Amino acid sequence: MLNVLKIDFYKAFRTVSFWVISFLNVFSVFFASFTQFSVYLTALDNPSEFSDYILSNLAKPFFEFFPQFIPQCTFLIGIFAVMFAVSEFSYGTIKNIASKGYRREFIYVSKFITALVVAIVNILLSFATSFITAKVMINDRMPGFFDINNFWETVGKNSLQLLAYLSIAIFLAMSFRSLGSSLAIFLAFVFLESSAAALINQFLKDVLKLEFNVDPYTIFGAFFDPSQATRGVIVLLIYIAIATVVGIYTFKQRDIN
Amino acid sequence: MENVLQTVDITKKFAKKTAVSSVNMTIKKGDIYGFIGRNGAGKTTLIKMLVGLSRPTSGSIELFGSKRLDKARHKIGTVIEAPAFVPNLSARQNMLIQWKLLGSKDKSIIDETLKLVGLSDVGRKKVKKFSLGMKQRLGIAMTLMGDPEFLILDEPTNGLDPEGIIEVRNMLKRINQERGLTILISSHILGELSKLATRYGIINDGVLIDEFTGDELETRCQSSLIVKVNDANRAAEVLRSALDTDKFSVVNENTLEVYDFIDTPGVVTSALAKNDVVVDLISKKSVDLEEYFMKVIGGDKNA
Repeated sequence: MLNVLKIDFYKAFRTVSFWVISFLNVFSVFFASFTQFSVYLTALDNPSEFSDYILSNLAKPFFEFFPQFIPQCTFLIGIFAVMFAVSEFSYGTIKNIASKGYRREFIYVSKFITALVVAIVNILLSFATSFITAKVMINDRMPGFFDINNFWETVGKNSLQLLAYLSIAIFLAMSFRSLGSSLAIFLAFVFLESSAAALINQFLKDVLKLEFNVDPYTIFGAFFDPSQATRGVIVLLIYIAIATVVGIYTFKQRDIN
Repeated sequence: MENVLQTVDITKKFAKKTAVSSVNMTIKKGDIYGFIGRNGAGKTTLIKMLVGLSRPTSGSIELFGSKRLDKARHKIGTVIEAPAFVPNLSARQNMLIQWKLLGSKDKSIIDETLKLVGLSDVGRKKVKKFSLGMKQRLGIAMTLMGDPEFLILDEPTNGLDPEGIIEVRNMLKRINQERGLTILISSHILGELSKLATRYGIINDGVLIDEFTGDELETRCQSSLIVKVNDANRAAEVLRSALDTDKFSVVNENTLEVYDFIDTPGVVTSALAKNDVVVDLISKKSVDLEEYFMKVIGGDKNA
């Protein structure tokens, strides 16, 4: 297992897609941070009723502001995960691994772990970018701006959502084995999940006359209700477990061509 | 001699087709096994089952006398259909991946193996810029990493120039002799295969229809003499009376095919001349692996 993981890491950090996605992440985080902090600074430098409103109601402390980048990271890392896993099939290198007697479940899990490590690297890079930007631009001009508060809880929830999306991405890549279809389905899932949930809610309400909301049972809406965090964690763990178990089972059953 | 591979009634069925049917194949240690069959005959499907890329519908496989295939497959080097690499990495980086995969300790084998296949001077050139021949060499180099005991090569000389084909052949012969490496090669170039293989297996429509050694092939491909004369019937009488042989057949009124005196055609010429039969031409005809294969599968389809 360790050997498979080693080569996956080796390959992942040498792919063009890793560097492109990391660059896009860092660039967009820097741009968004810079823009946001510029607004804070403008408000600080030009006291008025409006700037007071911005600083007291809209300006988030850094450790509340940063976690919003994790979902954006999810989208890009999901694309990377699909591209990375599918490339093994398109290059045929999966045959080199599977023919060496490594168990299919190890090969599958290794892809998942690699995607997760790439995600962690990207989140750390994004964090460093945003934190340095904040330190340079804001530093101690806003009291309490760098208070941690419930940062870890928010990051934990967002990271679990990221993990759930990654499990879907790897499942699709290892099942469809072609970039076009895997990527199209993954992107459709990410972008249309909330719309689909809204349609289902509408259908349940209008047609079946049921007051049931499916949002808490989706990945994006698992933590909508802060009082139901445990349920959110369970929902996401079920998504991860189902996608991984079904993915491994399918991968084990099918031939590698 | 120890069996490296033994399959018992191995079968692979797809929805509507039986790709491999009850194949019982045995490869002994040190064999160079030439695996022959037309396109779609079931060669690659069988090889994929051997290396674990495909699951047999029924039957069993033993590698190195063991049914614990995952462990045994670690001792096999394979190239299936085409060598597979990460195209945006160099030859050395691809070798390094294989080295890590095998969990090897000594990194120097990477350069040694690249040197062995003549790729030591390609530097940082990305594999995607390699010629087909260079890719084949790299594919073979990757199979040789980690001192495998059994090589499975599917069309290893595809894309190689004549010089490259000879080099690969000599290299495979050398490692077979020096390291006692067992090799299974499937190839369409039967002439080339016959210069290398010590045992053969012919598969047709998923059935292993024949297995034989190099010596047996020689016997089966027995040569003959084609003799063109002015009167074939008279020549036949002479062969019977003067040379006391009936190992011949009359092809037409001017031609005979003689299966005797193959290494001493002068005896035939002399006997016929002494008995007033004019010999216009005498030539040696030998059946090669290709012709034998066509005869066995009963057709003139492409190998």
